[in-house]
Amino acid sequence: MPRVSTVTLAGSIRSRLVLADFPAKEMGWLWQSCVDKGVIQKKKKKIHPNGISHWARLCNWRLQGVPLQYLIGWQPFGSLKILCRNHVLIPRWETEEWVNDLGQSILTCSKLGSIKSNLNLVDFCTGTGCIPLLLLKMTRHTNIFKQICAFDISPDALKLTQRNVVHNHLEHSTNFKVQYANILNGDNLFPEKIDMLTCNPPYISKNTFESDVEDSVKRYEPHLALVGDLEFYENLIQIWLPHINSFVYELGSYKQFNYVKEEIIKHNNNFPNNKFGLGMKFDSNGQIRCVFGFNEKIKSIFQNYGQLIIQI
Amino acid sequence: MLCRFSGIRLEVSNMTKCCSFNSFLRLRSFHASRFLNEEQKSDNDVIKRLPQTLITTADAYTKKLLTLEDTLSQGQEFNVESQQEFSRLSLINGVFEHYKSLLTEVEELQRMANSDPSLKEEATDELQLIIPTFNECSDKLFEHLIPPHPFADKACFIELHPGVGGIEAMNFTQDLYNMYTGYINNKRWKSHVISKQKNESGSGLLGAILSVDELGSYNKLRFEAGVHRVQRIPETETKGRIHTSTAAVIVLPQMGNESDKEMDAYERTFKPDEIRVDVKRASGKGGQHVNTTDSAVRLTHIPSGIVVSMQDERSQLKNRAKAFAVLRARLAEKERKEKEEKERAARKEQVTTTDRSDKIRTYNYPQNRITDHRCGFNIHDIDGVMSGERLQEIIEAVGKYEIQQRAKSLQSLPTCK
Repeated sequence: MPRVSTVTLAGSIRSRLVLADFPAKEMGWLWQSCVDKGVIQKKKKKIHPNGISHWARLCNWRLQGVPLQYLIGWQPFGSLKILCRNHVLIPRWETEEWVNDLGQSILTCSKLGSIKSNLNLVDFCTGTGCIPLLLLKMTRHTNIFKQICAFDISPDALKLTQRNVVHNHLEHSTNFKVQYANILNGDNLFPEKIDMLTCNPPYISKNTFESDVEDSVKRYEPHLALVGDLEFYENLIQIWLPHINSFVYELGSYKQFNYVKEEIIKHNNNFPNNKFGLGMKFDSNGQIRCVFGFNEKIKSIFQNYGQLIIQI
Repeated sequence: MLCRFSGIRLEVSNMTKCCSFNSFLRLRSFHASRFLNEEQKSDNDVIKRLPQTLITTADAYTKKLLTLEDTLSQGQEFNVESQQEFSRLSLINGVFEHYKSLLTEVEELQRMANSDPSLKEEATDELQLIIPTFNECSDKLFEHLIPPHPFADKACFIELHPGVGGIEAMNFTQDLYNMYTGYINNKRWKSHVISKQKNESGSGLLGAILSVDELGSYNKLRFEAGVHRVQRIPETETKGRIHTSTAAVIVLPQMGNESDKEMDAYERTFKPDEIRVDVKRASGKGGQHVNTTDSAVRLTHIPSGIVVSMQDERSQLKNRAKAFAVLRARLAEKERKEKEEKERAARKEQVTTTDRSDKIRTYNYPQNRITDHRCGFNIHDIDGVMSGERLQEIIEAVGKYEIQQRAKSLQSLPTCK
C-alpha cells in the first residue's frame, strides 16, 4: 500500500504555517500581552488554565501567520503606543523612522527659530493615525502645529485613529480632526493653505503584489491600504500642489519617485513664482522610502532631512 | 553490656556535638577573622597617622568651609549646590577636628609614658583604649579625603556573560543574575532588564544586561566586575564530579539620564560617520511589503571596533536608543581604564587595585563557601549570598580593602598625587 512519507507530510504541514521570524521572542511578547490584559495573573503562584489556553490560542494564530500586532493589539511607534485592529494597516518601522526624523528636524528648526509657528498639518490615508500623532507628540510642548487634520476612506481606520488620539492622551493638545474623505475625488477638503502634507499611500503595484509581498501581509492586512500605483502621486501633483507648502509621501519604488520628480520639474518651469525643491529619503535598510518637496516658506525643515535632488 | 552501649552512645552524641560545633565555627569564622584582625591591630599598637599630603588637603577644606560659611551667612545667594558643598565640608571638618583632638591626646599619652616612669602603666592602659578609636577616626577621615571614583555618583549597567563550562556556565550566569536582582530588590533600587537571552536549548542565560537606575549604584557594584568562578556538582553531572565554570560580570557606568523625551540623546553625542547602523532584513523591498517583528539593531563604533546589538524591544527606535546607551557606557569605561593605566604608568608604581585581578571570586558549593580573592574574604553562606541578601557584606569587605590599598599607595608615595 502506498503511503505518504513523513517527510512529505511534515513538509506540507510546514508550508501551511507561516513561521514567525523570531519564535521565542514572539511567544514572550504574547505572554506579556496576556499579563497586561489581565488574562494571566503573574502574582498568583498557580496560573489559571484559561490564561494558558488563551495564550496558546494566540501562539497558534501567530503560527498561522496572523500579524503579531493584531494579536497583541498595539505596536510601539516612537514614544507612542498605537492600537492596531483588523482591517487597518499596521505601522511599519520604516514609517516610524522617517516620521521620527521629520519630527526631530521640525524641533531643531523651531529651536533655531527658522520656521514660523501655527502650521497646518494634513495627513492623507492616515490608517492608525500614527504619522500625525507622533509628530504632534514630539512637538506638543511647542506651538508649531495649530491644526491637524487626518483623512481616510475606511470607517474602521477613522474609528481607530479616534481611539488612538484618546489612548495616547493627545485629545487636548491641539485642534485634531479626523474626517472621512475620498482623496482621489475631492479637492475641497481643507480650505486653508496646507503647510505640511504627509501621506503613506498604498504603493504596491498590482503586478508585483503576488511576488513581492509577504504571505502574512497578503492574507491579513487590508489590500485597500496596500495596492496602488501612481494614483496618489498623480493626485498630489494635479490637485494638491497649488494648495500646499510642503509634502512628504512614502513610496515603494523609483518609478513613483521619478514620476514626482519629472512633474515637479515641469511645475517649476511653468510657475517660476512657486518653485518646489525636491528630495528623497532612504531607510536604514538602504531602500528608497520617501519623496518630499517644499517651497520657500517651509524650506528650512528639509535642508538636513534627506538627500536633496532639486534645490531652490 | 549496657555500660558499653551507653558509652558508645555517649561518644556518638559527643561526635555529633563536635560536628555541629565545627560547622557553627565555620559559619562564624568570618566574624571571627574580622575580630581577630582588629585584635591584632590593637595588639600591635600601630597608630594610623595620615600622610602629610592628606592633612594639607584637610586644612584646605577647612579654609574653604570658613569662606563658604561667610558667604552663606550673608544670605545673598542660595543655591542647592553650595548647600550640599557646605554640608559635605562641615562633615569632613567635624571628623578632622575629632582626628586632631585624638591625635594630641595620643601624643600627650605617649610622651607621658616615655618620660614619667610612675605614670607609664596608666598611660599605656589609656593608650590601649584610645588607639582603636583613633584608628577608626583616621580611617573615616581617610575615606572622606581621598578623591572619589570619577563615576561614583552614576547609575550603572550590569552585563553578564557565561565563560568556560558550557551549560553549567550558563546556569551559573542565571544564578548570578538572580543574585543581582535579589540584591537590587533588597536595596529597593529601581532597575530594568535591557536585554536577556535565554539558552534556547536547555537552561541558563546566554547573556543579560541589567540597568540599575539608582544614582551612585555604580560605586557599590563596580567591585563586582571580573570573572566569577563556581565549583559545584552540576545538575547535569551523572557521576558526581565537581566542575569548575566561570561567568564574566561587566559593570559600566551610565553616562546620562535616559528619558522618553530624549530617546536619541545618546545618539546625538556621536558623529554620524563614527557609527554604522545595521538592521536585520537587508534583502527585500521593506515598507508595506513586509510586516516584520524582528527589530534587531546592530551598532558598530568604527574608531574602537565596539559592536553592540539589541533586539529585545518591538520598536526599532527603542532598540537603537538602548544600543546607543550601552555603547556610550562601554566607551566611557574604556576611556576610564585607559586613563587609569596612564596614571599608573606615570607613577611607576604597580599598585594592585581591585579591578586588576581577573578572577575575583569563587563560589564553592560543596563547602558552602564564597571567597573573594582580592581581599581574601570568606563567607560561609551560599544561599544567603546567592539570594542577594548577604552580598552586601562581600561588597563592603572589598570596598574596605580598596580603601586600604589606596591608603597604602598614598602613604608609600607621600609626594605624588
